[in-house]
Amino acid sequence: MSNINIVCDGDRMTVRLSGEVDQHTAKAMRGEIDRRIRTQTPRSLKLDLKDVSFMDSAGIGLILGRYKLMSEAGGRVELCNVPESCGRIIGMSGITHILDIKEY
Amino acid sequence: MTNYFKLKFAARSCNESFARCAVASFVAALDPTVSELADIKTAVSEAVTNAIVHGYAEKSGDVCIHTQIVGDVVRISIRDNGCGIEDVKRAMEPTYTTVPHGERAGLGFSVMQAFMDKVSVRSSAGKGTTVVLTKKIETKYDGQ
Repeated sequence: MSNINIVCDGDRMTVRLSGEVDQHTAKAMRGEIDRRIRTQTPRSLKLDLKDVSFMDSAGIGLILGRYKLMSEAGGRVELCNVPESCGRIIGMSGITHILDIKEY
Repeated sequence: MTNYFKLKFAARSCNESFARCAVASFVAALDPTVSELADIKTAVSEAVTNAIVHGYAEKSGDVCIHTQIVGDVVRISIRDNGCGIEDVKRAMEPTYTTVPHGERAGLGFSVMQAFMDKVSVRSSAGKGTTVVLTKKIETKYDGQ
C-alpha cells in the first residue's frame, strides 16, 4: 500500500513517496531514506508527495525528521507536488514556515 | 437514520489503515464530501495511533471502535485498556509527546481537534483511554 522511490543525481536526492503514510508505513520509509542519505550524503533532498493518498501526523514527523537530519549536515529539504489530501495537515503543522514547497 | 458498528482489533500499527478505512466505509452512507471523509480518516488514524503507541506502548492489547450515525452526525469512540493518561489537559497541548525520540510530531490531539467538530477524552491512569470524535456531515443526506 505504500512505497518509496529514491533517485540520486549528483548531490541532489529525490524521494517519491506513494500510498499511505502513517505510523506503520513511516517507519520503513524513514529507515530506507536515512540509509540512502548516509551513503549518498546529498546536499539537497526533495520529497515528492504526488502519489501520497493519505497522510497523518506520522507523515509530518517523517518530514521533520529528514529536515533535521539534512540541516545537521548543512543540507536543505523541499517538498513538491503536495496533493490536496495532504494539504490540510501540512498547513496546520507549520512546516511550511521552514521548508520550501514547490509545485512541479 | 440511526446506525452503528463495533470493531475490536489487535493494537498493532498494521491495523491502522484497516481501522480508518472501516470507519470511512461506514460513514460513506451519509454521502460525505471527499474532504469530510479525509478529515475523519485522519482523526481516527491519530486516535488509533495514540492507543497503540501511548496506551499500550506497542505491547499487546485490544482497540475498540464504536461508530454511531445519528441523523447527519457521526460519533466515533476509540477505546483502549492501556496505561491511560495522567494529565489529559497537558496531553492535548500541541507538540506534547510521550515519545520524544520517536519522531512523533506531537500533533495527534491538535489534528483531531482541527478536523472534527468535537473531541472529548476520558482517561484513567492504569485503566485506559476513550477518545470520542464527533462530526456533523454537511451533505445531501435526505434523512431516509
